[in-house]
Parts: sequence; structure tokens; C-alpha cells
Amino acid sequence: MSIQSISLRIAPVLHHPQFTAQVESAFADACNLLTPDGVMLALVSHTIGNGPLNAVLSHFSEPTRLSAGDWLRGNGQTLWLPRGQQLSLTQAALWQPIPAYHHLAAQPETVTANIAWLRGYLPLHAPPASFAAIASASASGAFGNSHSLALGQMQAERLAAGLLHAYAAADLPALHGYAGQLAGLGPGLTPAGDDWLAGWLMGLHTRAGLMSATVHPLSTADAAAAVLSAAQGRTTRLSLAFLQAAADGAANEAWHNLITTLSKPSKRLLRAATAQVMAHGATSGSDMLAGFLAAFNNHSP
Amino acid sequence: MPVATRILSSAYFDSVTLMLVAKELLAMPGVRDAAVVMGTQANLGLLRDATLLTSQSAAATPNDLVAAVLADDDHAAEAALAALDGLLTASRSNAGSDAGAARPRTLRAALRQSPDANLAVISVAGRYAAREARSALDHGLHVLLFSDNVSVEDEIELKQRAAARGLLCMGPDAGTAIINGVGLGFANDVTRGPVGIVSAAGTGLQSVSSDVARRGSGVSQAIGTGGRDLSEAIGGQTMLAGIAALQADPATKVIVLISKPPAPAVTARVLQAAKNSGKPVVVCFLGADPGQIEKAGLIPVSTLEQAAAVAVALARGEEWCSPIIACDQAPLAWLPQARAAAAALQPQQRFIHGLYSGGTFCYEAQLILRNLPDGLYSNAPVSAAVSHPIPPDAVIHGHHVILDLGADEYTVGRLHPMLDPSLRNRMIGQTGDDAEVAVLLLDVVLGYGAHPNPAGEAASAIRAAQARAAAAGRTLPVVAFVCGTEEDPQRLSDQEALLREAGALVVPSNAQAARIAALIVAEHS
Repeated sequence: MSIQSISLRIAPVLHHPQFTAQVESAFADACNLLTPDGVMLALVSHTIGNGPLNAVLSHFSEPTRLSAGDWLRGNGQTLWLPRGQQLSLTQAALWQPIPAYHHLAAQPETVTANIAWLRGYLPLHAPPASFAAIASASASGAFGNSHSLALGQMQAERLAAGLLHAYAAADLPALHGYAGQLAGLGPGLTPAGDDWLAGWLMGLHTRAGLMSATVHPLSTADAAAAVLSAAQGRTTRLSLAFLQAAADGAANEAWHNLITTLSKPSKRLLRAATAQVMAHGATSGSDMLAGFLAAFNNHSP
Repeated sequence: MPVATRILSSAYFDSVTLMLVAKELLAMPGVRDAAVVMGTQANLGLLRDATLLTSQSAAATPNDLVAAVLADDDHAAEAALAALDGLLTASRSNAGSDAGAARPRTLRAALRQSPDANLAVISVAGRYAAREARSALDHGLHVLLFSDNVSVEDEIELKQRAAARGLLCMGPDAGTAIINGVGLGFANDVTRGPVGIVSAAGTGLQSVSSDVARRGSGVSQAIGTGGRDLSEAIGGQTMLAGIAALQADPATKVIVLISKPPAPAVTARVLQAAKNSGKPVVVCFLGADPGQIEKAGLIPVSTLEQAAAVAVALARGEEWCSPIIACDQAPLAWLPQARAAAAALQPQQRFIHGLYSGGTFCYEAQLILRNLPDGLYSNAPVSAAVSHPIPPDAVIHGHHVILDLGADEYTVGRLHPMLDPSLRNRMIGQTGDDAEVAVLLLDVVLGYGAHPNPAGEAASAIRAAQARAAAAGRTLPVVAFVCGTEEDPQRLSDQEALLREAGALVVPSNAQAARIAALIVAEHS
């Protein structure tokens, strides 16, 4: 058994000659690890594929199945799992988690048209429990009719609007405040509020790639730093790690594909790439996409 | 009212699991509200706003799981929280991510658990499907290959391998079958009887097997071949093997073949094999030339409803012409309703809008509606002579539109509409805003594997659409049919009643539904 590819973001950690990590959570296709230094990374199957925190295994099956609390050790070349199994790192390819945003600048009209198309597509296809579907009547019954979480959906809408106004006004303290209230909002390992924020940060990186000369007084780095500092301690470790990756513009393969497809005129390809992004998690993909599109709306100059 | 809280430290579940568990807790007796969330400050704020926050949950950290229940009394709250562990385990197991479940993960392990099994149902990602099917055949198992995205070369090789071992390879992309009374995939609960079916069309098989049961007869075997089996490349290998199996089966008195028109060379081979079976054979090759079928000494029918009616008549030893006439004339009985619906339409309401979850039903409806003036558009057009393809992202005005919502473009990244009707529900709702729509045409498919209450879902959407139409001063006639049986988990009569209560005209077959929709448009014009 071996690891086939490793994100550049986690490669230095995994290749450390004295690597140790504990399994924080284990699912059918992914296993999240936490190092003693607080770094999150994941061993995943091909079904999940490459991502900013991921190492993709050649076979993710019964022998590699891990449980929460298990310890893993490595020497930079081999990873030892509990129960004696080994994973070789020597053949692993390195994967760049940051998409080539700058390529978008060559096709600004196509990208703009595709963004407009996505705005129409998302509300129609988003799952009812997602933030993206808040405005549609189909959102009734979301979150299993739990009053508290339906309340969360409404709050998220208000907070997202507030954050966008704060960004438009280059009001960094207000942006920090709204981001802090969105962080950790919603059920699951990566709460929906975080997904929306991660998507918005990805959207800012995409805008920056699209427009060679940005006129906004807040740089993407400023906004990202405000979001990260606001989210610190307010969300799960795993979700914070994803937010940190998004703040740097890093994303999984599905997002790479979508970013690339934005500059192509084919709606068939765009629809397929969008569906792939939206297929992530129960609502995570749609929530990220909602945040991504918000970076292009009228509140953002 | 008391609030009870439980904190699980460092417990991680995905949001689907947490939403499902919260829903289960809400359904428990005496529970007024429930939330199961990670203990982030934002979520604790939500709990506070919903009066679900306690001093215990206020101390939770973002990496703690918090379950909170508001109930009528302490007993109800504690009972709900006592069920929490079981619900979390069960939901995660149902979501397919339970690390501890004792389920076999390989074919070999499954055979150790069930050494007498003689059929494998395979539903894995397409790139692994051929390998697993090959392994199953090599272990002497018949195969139902649910997976799609298997190459033509692999399909040919698998079917040759099956033939060499005297086994059936149903699929790839075979969504349903009924073998020795056991429904596989999307199957309906039908009684056993004298009618054997071989079908390259999934909902076609469901429709005919259900209709046979509704007519008081039963099904011996129903063999799905996969949609590509009758292409020139595959050569109808599974349909030929299926005909041979039914020929040898003493319980099968009548054989029904269902497909879109096969490749010409394959048609000749299949019809010859059917003729050689020595049993009466009803051939429902939707849209095919009936002359060639008749010439082979077989019985051609043009709709799924006719196939069931004729097969049942033959099994009872009755003559087969009158069921065809009866099926064709049945829609005329609905003329008064059609006229009443047409009379209430506005002048600009001229077009049929069909939103199908079953691909075969969509195909059959296009054939029935092909001669309507103004042209027919579909995302799954039958042929240039019947209907036009919808250009990508185009909005069609001034024409009839029949959509297959189970097609790839509607199901990438989401469940098939027979499982998750939410997209169709939204589209039904939007139909209420379309001033040109004269009739909304719908199918509802029951059976194992389908949504637990598909008609209930459709009925809510129909009400919403009709309310939106009414707000604009229009009516919106809805014609629907339900594919299923009384024995299905959803129960046919209950599902039909839900649609009728929502104001839909509910008829017994897709063919009748399409013809009645055409009647309404014709009466209006």
C-alpha cells in the first residue's frame, strides 16, 4: 500500500522524519489526523481525491481502516499504522492545491458570463437545507424542521449580507465581527457558516486573478486575515484548517476544475464542474458556492 | 418546559448525520424542539435563541458535540437523549460511513457469509464495476450490474464470460429485475405468475410488471438487460440469454420483450430467438415498425400498457386484439374532464409540460404526442422525426416540452428523482408561473428503493404550482399516473388518493395520461 499524491500544503508535515499524528475522526472514505503541533491533515480515498489537506491512498479499504484515537508514526518515507500496516510515501506525487487563478484574466467576458449563469443555476439546484436555498420557498423544512437551526439559516443570511456591506465599505472591524458570528454556524464538522466564508475567500482570490489591477481598498490578504482571526477558537479544528487553506486560495480538485472551467464557453462543462463542487458533503459544496458567488455581487466593488 | 442536554467530547459526525438525528429526536413523543450541533459559539448562540441552551451546554467547546432537547416533561427529554447514541450510530451506518458495521467489504467475504448465494448485485463506481462483475461471474454468480460508466468493451467481455458459464449478466446500468420473486434495485412488489419479462428499459419493466399485477396476473421472472444491450456492439446478448432462460422456465407461459427500437441486425436476431421459444411473445419495442414483428409471428404492441394487457389476456387463453382496442379507447372516457379543464384555460395556455422521473415514460410520451402541432422538445429526444433536442441552457417557449429528469444532466451530483424529488418539485412549482402551460404531465414511481412518499411530495408541489397559477388568474390542469402496486411499500391506492386530493387527474397508465393531456390541448384549441 502506498500514498499516491500529497498536497504541497501538508507534504512537509507528512515527510517529517519524526511524524506522529492521532486519528481525530474516521469516515468511510476519509480519516482526519491531528499532529501534536495542531496541524490537521487527512488520509483519503480516490473518491474524495486531492485537496489542500489530503494525502490520497492507493487503496483505502479494510486494512487501512482506522479508528478515532489511533496513533500513526512516520519517518518521512514510510507511515506506520496501528496493527502493523505500512504506507509508502516514496512514490507520492506532490499536488499543488492553489488553482491557477491568473489564467482567468485572459477571458474576462467568458468568466463574467459564467458567473452570471452560476447565479441562476445555484438557487435552482441547491439542497433545501443549504444557505444557497434560503431565499427559495423550498427552504421550509430545512434542518429537519428544527426551530433552532431554521433560525440559524435566517441568521446566516443576515450575517452574510452584513459581511458583504462591511467589505464594500472597507470596514475591517465590522468585517471581523460578522465573520466571527458566521464562523461555526450550522451543524456538522465543517459548519455551513464556515463553508460560506471559505467560498467567499475563494471568490476573492478568483476576482483578484480575473482583474489584474484591483481597485478595492482591502486586499484579499487583509480580508482573509480578518476572517481567520475572527474564526479562531469559534469553530471546529478541521473547519478552521479548511478556512486557513481557503484564505490562501487553496481548494480541492472539484474547485480547481470549476475555476478552470469558468474561462471556457461550454455550459455543459460548467454544469458538470458545478455539480461536482455541489456534490461535496450534504450542503457544504452549495454553501461554498453561495459564498463564492457573493464575492462577485454588487456589494463588492 | 424542561431542556435536557448531552455533551459528547471529541465526537465527530458529518452534517447529514446530525440533521438526521435531530429529525429523529424531533419525531419522538413529547419533544418540542431538538438540535444536535458542534459546540461552536455561533451554534451555542442559536441554542440560546431557541431556548435550548443550558449551563452545561454553555460550557461546550467547538470540538464537542451538543445535543439539546426541549420537551413537555423531564421524562420525554431524558428518553430522547437516551436514544441519542443509538440514533447516531444508526444514522451514520445508514449514511454508509460506519467504521464498525459488520458488513462484508469484499465479494469473497460476502460469499463466506452467504455461501448459497447465486446472484450478485453490484453497485460500485463505474471504473471498478467490470472488475467486480468479472469476479462474481468467476465465482459462478449471476450478476445484476447496477453501475453505469462501464465501457462497451467491458460489457461485451462480461456478457461473453457470462454466456460461457451459463450465467446471466444483467446490466451494466440495469436498475431493476425480479428474480424468483425477489425484487432487485428499483422493483415493485408483484405477485408471481405466468408472465416473463426481458427488458432493456428500467421503468418499462416496472410499468409492465406492475400493470400485470394490477390486472390480477403475475410475473415469473423479470430480467433487466441494461440500456445498451440491444445496440449493434453488444448484440442483445442478455436479451437473447433472457429469452432462452424464460423458454426453459416452466412457470413462464407468455414472454414480454421491452426496449427502444434495437439496432436492425439485433432486431432480426432477437425476433428469431423469440419465435423459436415456442411461447407466445409480446414485443414492445417502443416506436419500432410493427410489421417486422408481426412477420416473425410475434405480437407487436405500441405502449407499455398494451404490453401488460395483451400478456395477461394471452396467459388466460383469451384473444389478444380486444385488449389493444380497450387501451386505445380508454382515454375517451375522460373526455368530459378534459373538456372541463380546457374550458377553464386562458387563450395563451397551449402547451404540455411533462416532467418525468422515468426515462421510458418520457420516451413513450414523446411517441404518443409526436403529432401535436407546434412541435415537441425534450432533453432526451426520441429522434428527429419525433422531437427536437433542447439546446443547452435554452428556455423553450411556444412548444410542448417533455423532460426526463433522470437523465445525466439532472442527476450529476444529486440523487435520481425517484429517490429525491426536490428538483422536480421546484420545477413543478415554476410551472405555475408559466403562462403558456396548459397541462402538467407527471409520473410517480413506487417500489422498493424509491422515495417513501413520492405522491405526497408531488402533491405539495402541485398545490404550490396551482396556487401560483391562480394568483395570476389561471388554472393549471395536472394529469398524472402512478407506476406501482397495492403491495408496494407506498401502496398504490394511497398514493393515487394523495394526487387526487391535490386536484390531479389520476389515470392508470402513462399512455393514457399523455393522450388525455393531448385531448385537453386539442379541446382548448
